Amino acid sequence: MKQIFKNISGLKSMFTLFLGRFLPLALFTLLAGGAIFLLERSSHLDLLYKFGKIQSVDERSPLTCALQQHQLVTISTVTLLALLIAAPIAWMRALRQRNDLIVEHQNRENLRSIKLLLDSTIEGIYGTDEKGRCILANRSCARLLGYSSPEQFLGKNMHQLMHHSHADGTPYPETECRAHRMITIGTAPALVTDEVFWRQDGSAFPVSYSVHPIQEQDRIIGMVCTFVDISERRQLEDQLRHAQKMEAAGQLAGGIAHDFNNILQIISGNTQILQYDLKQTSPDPPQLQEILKAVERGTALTRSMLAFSRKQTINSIPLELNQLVKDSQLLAQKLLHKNTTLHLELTEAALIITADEVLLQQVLFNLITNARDAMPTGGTITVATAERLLDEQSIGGTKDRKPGTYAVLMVQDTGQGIPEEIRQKIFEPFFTTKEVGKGTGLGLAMVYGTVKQHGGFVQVESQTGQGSCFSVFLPTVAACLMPNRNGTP
Amino acid sequence: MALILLIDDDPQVRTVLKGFLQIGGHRVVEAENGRQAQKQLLAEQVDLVITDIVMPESDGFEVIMSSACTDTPPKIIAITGGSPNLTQQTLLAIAQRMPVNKVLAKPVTCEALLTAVQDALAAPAPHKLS
Repeated sequence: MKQIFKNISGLKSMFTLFLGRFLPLALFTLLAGGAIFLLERSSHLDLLYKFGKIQSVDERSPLTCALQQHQLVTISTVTLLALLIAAPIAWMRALRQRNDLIVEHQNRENLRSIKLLLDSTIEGIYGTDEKGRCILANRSCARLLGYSSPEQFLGKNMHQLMHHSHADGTPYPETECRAHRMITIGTAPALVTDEVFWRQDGSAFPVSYSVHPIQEQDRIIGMVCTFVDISERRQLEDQLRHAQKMEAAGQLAGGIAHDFNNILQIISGNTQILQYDLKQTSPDPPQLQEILKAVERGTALTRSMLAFSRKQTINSIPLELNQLVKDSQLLAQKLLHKNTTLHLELTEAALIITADEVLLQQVLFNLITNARDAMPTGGTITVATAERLLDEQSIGGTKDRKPGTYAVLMVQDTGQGIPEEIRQKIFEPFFTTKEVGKGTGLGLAMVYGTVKQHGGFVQVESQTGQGSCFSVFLPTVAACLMPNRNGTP
Repeated sequence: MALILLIDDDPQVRTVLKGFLQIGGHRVVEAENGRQAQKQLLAEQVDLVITDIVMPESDGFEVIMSSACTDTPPKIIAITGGSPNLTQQTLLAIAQRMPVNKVLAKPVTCEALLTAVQDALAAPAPHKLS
């Protein structure tokens, strides 16, 4: 308040305000007094002349002198009195004007801080009249809805502008609008989080909004809506849900592994005993060998399940990724049919990572097997390596990814690609698109579990009809940790 | 030909392992948990103990530690398929640090078990653990 008064006295002091009011009044009074004096004097002199008391109006006699003196005294007194009355009037008016100036200044300041408040929030805010037309909007409102300035909304029907359809594209009539209901029936949900708002470019985003009424004498004449874009929150929730699901599946896998091993022991053991007994009399039936092969596969499956459950103890050593790929090439080739070629595109740079050699090789084999199965009629599988530097921005706030230098192992096929709707599911245990009997579904879950255990992550890029690329990101370590395999410095 | 005490809580697994050992020409006494095994050990002098690790009542670790403290500690082979809380690898890693001759992972083949038994029987007698 003090500041405001200081500003006001700086602008126009009380004294100048007073003079501004008083001087015209005083001038008018003096002029009026002078005019009255001259008028009265001439009419008096005329009368005296008519009655023959003086010879001419210009005559100077004791009578005219007395008249002038009398007139001077009375008119001066009246003028002075008038000035005395004018002064307080002028003062009062100056005071009123100063108050008006203060109020005006305060209003301007209030308006400025309200605008500042509105424009400084992350939340988009807009208000409408009872017909739903925009009467106010802040900068965030424009930013979130993809407009350049909030003034563009003024006078427009907000519902028709950015709330016209549901998330699935079906129309959302204004009569059903939960925000607009605040005006029509006076109540609205405290917080709506299951709707979308539409941007200027025609895209939609999930929104969380709340509505507040504008009241005038118990009548609702509009509403103010506050909203935020919750895309990021939704994404994090999805990620969390996915992680929890994977965690639960992992626990389940760990839990059944023990019983599973016992069951396998019983099957394989009895088969071996039977084999032994039969050997004494007749040749070994081939079916028994098949049972043992199945047990072997079951054992491998248990191991994959445990890798997925992240409970398997891993024996990590510093190793060079390109070398590992080269060492695995011959074995990998054996996984492929004749119509599929394996192509390596390895980076020149040494990619030192800390990893379990056997598990990582298994990851590579699983990815190659998957690539092979994605191309039933053959094609090319490209295994590539690269070094990537990921900063905070490229990680994009994903919780389980840390910025740093990563060694990337990419397996690219020329198959059908993975449709968007199943891309989320491919790392779930037992999820498979292969025909019954062709895959257990643990392949990619094992990749997911193992890579996660190594502090890395997996990315899938896929375009329908153009093949898929699985990228395994593993954190690199300093080259000095690499033991020299030749034993020479 | 040796006398072997076989400890496992799963009767079907016991039957299988007993069958393996009999193929190798060994004599087998059975126990379904650590407590029963202690009684058997007191009653009979065995050449070798083959024990599961995860069992109710008294587990394989208890069998290993308590028998290692007796005056004439038996030779021991531990065998495990993991547990709901600890993985096979972890259990095997723990067992390896204990006074045992050999640690095996389920499912075990007849050949692997008989080789392990042979090796254990040929090994020098263990010392009492103080």
